[in-house]
Amino acid sequence: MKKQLFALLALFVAASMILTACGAPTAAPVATAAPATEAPVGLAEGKVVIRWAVGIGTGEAANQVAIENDVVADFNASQDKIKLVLEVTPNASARDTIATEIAAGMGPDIVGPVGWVGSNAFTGQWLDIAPYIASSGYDTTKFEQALVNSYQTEQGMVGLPFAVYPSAIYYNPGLFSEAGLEPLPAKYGDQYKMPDGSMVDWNWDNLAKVAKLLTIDANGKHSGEAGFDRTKIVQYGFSFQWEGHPEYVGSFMSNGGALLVPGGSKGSYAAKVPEAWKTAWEWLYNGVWGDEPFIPNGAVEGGADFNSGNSMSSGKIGMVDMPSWYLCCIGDLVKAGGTFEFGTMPISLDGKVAGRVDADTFRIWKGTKHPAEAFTVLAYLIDTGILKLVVGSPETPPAYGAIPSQGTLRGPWLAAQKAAWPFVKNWDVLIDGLNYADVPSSEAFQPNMNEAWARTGTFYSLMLNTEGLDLAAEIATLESDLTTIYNK
Amino acid sequence: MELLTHLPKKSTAVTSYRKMSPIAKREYRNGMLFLLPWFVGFLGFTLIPMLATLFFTFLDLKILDVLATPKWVGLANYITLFKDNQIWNARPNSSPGALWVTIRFGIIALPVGIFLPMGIALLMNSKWLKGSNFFRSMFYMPYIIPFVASIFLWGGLLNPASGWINKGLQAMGVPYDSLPGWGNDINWVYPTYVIMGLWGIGNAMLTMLAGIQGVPTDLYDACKVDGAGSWGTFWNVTFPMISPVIFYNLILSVVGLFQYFLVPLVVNQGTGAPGGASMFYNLYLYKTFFVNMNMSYGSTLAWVLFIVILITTVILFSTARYWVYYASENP
Repeated sequence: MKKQLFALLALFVAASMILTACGAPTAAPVATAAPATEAPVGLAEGKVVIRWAVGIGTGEAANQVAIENDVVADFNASQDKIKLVLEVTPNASARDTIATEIAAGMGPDIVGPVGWVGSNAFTGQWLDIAPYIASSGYDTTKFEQALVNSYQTEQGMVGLPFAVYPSAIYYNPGLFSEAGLEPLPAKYGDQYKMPDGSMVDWNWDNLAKVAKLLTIDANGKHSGEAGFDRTKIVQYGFSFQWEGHPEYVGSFMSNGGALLVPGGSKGSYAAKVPEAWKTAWEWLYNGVWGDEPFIPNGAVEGGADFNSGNSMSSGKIGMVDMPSWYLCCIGDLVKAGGTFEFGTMPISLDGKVAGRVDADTFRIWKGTKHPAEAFTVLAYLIDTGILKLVVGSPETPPAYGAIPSQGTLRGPWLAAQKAAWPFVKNWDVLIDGLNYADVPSSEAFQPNMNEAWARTGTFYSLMLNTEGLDLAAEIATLESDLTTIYNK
Repeated sequence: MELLTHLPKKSTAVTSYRKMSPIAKREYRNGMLFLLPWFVGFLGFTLIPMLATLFFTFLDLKILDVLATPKWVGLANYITLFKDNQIWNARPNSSPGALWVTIRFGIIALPVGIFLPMGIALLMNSKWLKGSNFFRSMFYMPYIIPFVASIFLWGGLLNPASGWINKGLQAMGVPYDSLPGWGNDINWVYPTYVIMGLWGIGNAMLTMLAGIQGVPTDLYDACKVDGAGSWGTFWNVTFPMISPVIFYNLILSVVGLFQYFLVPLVVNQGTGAPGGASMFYNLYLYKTFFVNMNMSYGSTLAWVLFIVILITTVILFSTARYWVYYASENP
């Protein structure tokens, strides 16, 4: 009898172990958000439930979640037909979670805020909202047309502008002054006055000339000057810093282009580097490793002397090309007594200014059972939710550090920035960058986007870290690798 | 042998269940019941997933292609793998392929991982060393620290900007612009990983020490009588006698090398930076599975890795007869 009882107990323990092992993993708790594993509910309290998934982009931090919950509460209070439910997943696992939910036919109705790279991982899954824009009479003229156009893709209109980050050249006026250089153009269309007094177009070649004058060795000589020692450079003229990705560089300097040859399908996709991009990458590579360098290499820029990659804030870089979100991280420069200013983006090889706008927005899942209600929520987030999520107030900072997509809402954002950086005058340059969005986005879709993006990132890292590269051979290797990746 | 004669023969035990007494049957059933959780776990979490990954290698299965039905593609994934430049590229001054990264690192890391613990074990065994127990504990102690924690610790110490090591080098007069970039520098990234790995040598040191202490002292006495010097004693007695331990550590190190993953994932965020130099094979496999969500290609990489490790291990075992001395086989 004892043995039988013992056997029964063993069976019970074994069954418990199996059940425990087979149980669903518990989602990591994130602030006060609803659990990510919550089953989708079609109706609750007689209302249509719309699930809003946060985490694939920004938005998972506790302070952000608190504001997001606030927005959800505001929306629900204003509604008698729709109930909005927030689902926050840690960024590291958000893509897996959403992919699994979509695969199971339980995808969230709305996803975001999310940028291009994040959303391109789910290309083909986003709803074309053009019919809902038309049927609801939604006014898109409140946005810069270039921003609206940027969301028009082969899959239709997949988003509306929400949070934007235009690019500009950030420069260090102190270093310009020391080198006897004029400030950069403060208005798109203006020319630049070179040290010899000549007025020149502000393009990438002239940017390189200015950058060389700002690249100084330990003896005080500038790049290109007789006796300049390239092994003892203490200050550089230019860096792409955190915008260092070959597709950005190519897009900046050639005003568009893409690596994916259009018209392919699985098995016949092909990668081809546009000729103008090759020219752009050679410009970059020569800037790092050429006879007259003006861009720090990877080891230098990642090193102690240049603030571990945040090189502009080290005070030893004359210019960087960065989006507005870089305001987050330039504080070290100011703490050390330096200042910065904005200059216009240079003219690209095709004779037109090419900028880049990082943009976060919301996407609606194509498989949603309630597209009209989801669009109602999307419109609410972009028009009303934005006030707490992006604009904020002096008492309550916004959840996301972006520029509001609607011009009429930019006043408070600008006032806060002017208070934070009182020495900056050219705020218009930064805002005007919204008129030079990259269309198509330099983060545009490629098959197997994550791997393709990582592979081109490795190519950039190789350029910045390896002297004596056979660039043409590496570009050919990149094309071959990308073609393989596209067809995997 | 006498002790075993009372046990039933194996075939009898299996085939005579019907002939068992009720008590024996109940004990047999209880025994199987106790084994059941392991069987379920083994089937559910090891064998079936393994076979499933083998099946996946013949499919086109990606988690993100949620609307597509996985297609049967035959050997296409294997063909892609054998043409994949991101694995095989060995051209100098280029982004190295994942396999080449692993081999390059192994050329540096394996000798250090074998001979340094052996050297330390010899020191620990020295009769002139005072406080050997203290040193043994000190050398072993880092091994008990969770590996990820130690990587973060070393990551902080080796930070080019704020790390104590560069600050120490600077204090010793190394110019600011000559400080190593450690994990950020294409020339320093492998030495950086090796330095981090040194913290884990405590276990290898301990097994080597156990091997050294197991060498019969009469062999050393014979060496003395024959007039052998310290090198001769080491080469002719100590090394052959501990060669099974060295071989054991070599096998573990080689397998560990092919599975090397955590350090580049933490230190370089799994990006392969600088210039692809930290994209180890196993990291590439992980990214294919869990970042790129390509289950089929990831499975193919995993099975090829399994085969490569198997072949390497078989080759190492086949060389063992030439340099590994088993005293029990040579009485």
